[in-house]
Amino acid sequence: MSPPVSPAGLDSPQQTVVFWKSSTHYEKSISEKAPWANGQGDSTGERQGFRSMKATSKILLILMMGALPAWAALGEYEGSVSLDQRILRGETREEVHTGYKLHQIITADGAVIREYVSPEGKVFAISWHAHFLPNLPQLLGSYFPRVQQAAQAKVQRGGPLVIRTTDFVYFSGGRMMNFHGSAYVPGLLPKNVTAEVVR
Amino acid sequence: MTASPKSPIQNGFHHRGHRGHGEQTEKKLWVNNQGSVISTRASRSSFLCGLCALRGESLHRGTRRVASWLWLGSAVFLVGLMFMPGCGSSSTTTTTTTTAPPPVANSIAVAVNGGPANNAVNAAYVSVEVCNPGGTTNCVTIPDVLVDTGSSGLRILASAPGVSSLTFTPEMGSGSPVYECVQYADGNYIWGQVEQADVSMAGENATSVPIQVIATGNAPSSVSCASGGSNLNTSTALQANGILGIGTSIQDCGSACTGSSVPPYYWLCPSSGCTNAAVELATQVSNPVAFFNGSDNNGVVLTMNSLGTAGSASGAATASGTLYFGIATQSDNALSSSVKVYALSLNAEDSDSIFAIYNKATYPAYVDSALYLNFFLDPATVEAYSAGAGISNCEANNGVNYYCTSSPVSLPFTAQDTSGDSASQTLSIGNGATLYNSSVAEGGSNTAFSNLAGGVAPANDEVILGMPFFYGKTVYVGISGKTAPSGVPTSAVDFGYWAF
Repeated sequence: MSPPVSPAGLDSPQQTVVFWKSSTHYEKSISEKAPWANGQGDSTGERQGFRSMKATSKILLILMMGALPAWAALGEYEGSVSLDQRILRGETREEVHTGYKLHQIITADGAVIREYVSPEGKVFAISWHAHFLPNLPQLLGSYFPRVQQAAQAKVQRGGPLVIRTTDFVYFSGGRMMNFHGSAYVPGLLPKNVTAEVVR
Repeated sequence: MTASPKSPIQNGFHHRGHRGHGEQTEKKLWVNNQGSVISTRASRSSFLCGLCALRGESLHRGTRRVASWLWLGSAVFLVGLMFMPGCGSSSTTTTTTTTAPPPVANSIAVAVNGGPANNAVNAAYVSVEVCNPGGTTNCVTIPDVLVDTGSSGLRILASAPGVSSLTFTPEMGSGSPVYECVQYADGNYIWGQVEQADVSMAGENATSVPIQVIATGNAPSSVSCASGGSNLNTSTALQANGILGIGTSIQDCGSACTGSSVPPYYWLCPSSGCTNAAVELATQVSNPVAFFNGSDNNGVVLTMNSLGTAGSASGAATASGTLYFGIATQSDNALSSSVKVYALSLNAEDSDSIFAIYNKATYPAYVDSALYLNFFLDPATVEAYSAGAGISNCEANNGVNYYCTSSPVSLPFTAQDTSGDSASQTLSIGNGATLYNSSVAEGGSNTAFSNLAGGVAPANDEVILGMPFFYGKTVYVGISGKTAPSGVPTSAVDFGYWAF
């Protein structure tokens, strides 16, 4: 009944298991057009300009005041990632892994936001470790209403929020000044890449 | 500072003292302001014995009434009461009465009972007296305030009974009223104005401490932290009339909210609209315990009674406990030699954390009395270590997955702090779906569960010791920067500590 566990996973918190194969799922079907359906063109080309961006202290105000349009990342083409970085004004790093690319933003206030990009150029996962919840509408895009709906459906206050559906998996935990979470689209996971990489 | 002349809370009755010039001239008016519910839920610390209760009440009234120039005299009387037979003081040796401060009633009853909307699981409540700031007598006793060791500061619903009759003093920043948006991991939030109020529990008084009054409406759309969920602004949504944050910090945000780049917690709201802003420490919503007059302000001790054999196995209708103010400041809140003190870490990703070592792997961990379950790791990781226990996920009627076992399982783990101090602990797992489905939230009658647990995603593995962990235990919460008793290492003072 239990998902498979890699032996290494027993000894290292960094090793993880394939948890979306869990025998039980929180099924809340929400009909929704594929968020990447409107994506145009191939944006897999590198966009390096953002790398020179330096952190400034204005990031929060910009985000909160909505001075720039909120751009979804999850499920969209890579281009949206660089826009995130431009808005976030954080220090960025790009890592090339087998089967996917990882974009990491460390914002001026220490938040770490990671975006995982498939070879097709789509963001298939995001994660965060931050003092406060990141701009979820921006990072989750068309998936965000599901998070809102699940949050409002909760009866017992506090604690993490978990969404496990066949096409969207979400976890948000932590407490004031210490939040962490992740989200991914199982259908967008690159070939031979598992959700283990999302952390 | 003399004890502020406010009305005591006594068994749910609200004693409004109308004072003349002298403190001895007060007229007594007893008001049962919350009905019979309070008298059962908020019974004071008279659990020890009748004499102790008498002592507590006497001390309580004593500290309220006696001006500083009187306390020496009353101390003799009070110390005499302390040594009445059967009142927890086994020693018969005399103690110095001339140097000790006057004892203060420092404990209140804690009840797990489903809360004001009878929909809460494993939520522990106390009654809190809130008054207009500045030692006034305009006070309201608010029942069903959630005990939260995981946050700092008192937050009360503006819609809670009696709150509208109070007149607070708004905290101001740059000439504008200060508001706060407290966001939770699930996306829901609390929005409301930061106000000065006096806060009293048992014989303890905090004068003009910043609290949050949770607005009846939603946050303005410009407030970014409100984007993900709902304002928990009703007793049904909050599952309480307020939240009593008695965690390890004095302020709820601290220096992170005073700098040039601040999180979206504090907002200045002139009539033109709200903008995110830094606010100084003195303006931030703060742990009222840290501001108690006297010496019982270095932390709290939360003792929750065991649910018993049957209650542990299948859930209990109610649970009870006692919240003591101060650590090792009085005879009833001594730091037990049988507990381990855990100094907290303060780094970017795991602030206010200790560690849990489970099956040789180390995870961030923390205790949080406001969390209704033990939330730890993921089913596969848990099961791998407890081979044969048959731990799996199962879904309760609320659509949430809990850990399930055919019979309760105790999982050992090691709790370790940043300095490497560690002790073995256990977590209990029962059939979470069955347990939750028997709760008041699902039409059943149970509100207390010591075996309720769940977990989720390996990538986010952590160990959160919620209310189920507290039953049958005493947990100490030491406030950072306050005087710590002997037995607490110096390293634990800076960022606070837990002991259990």
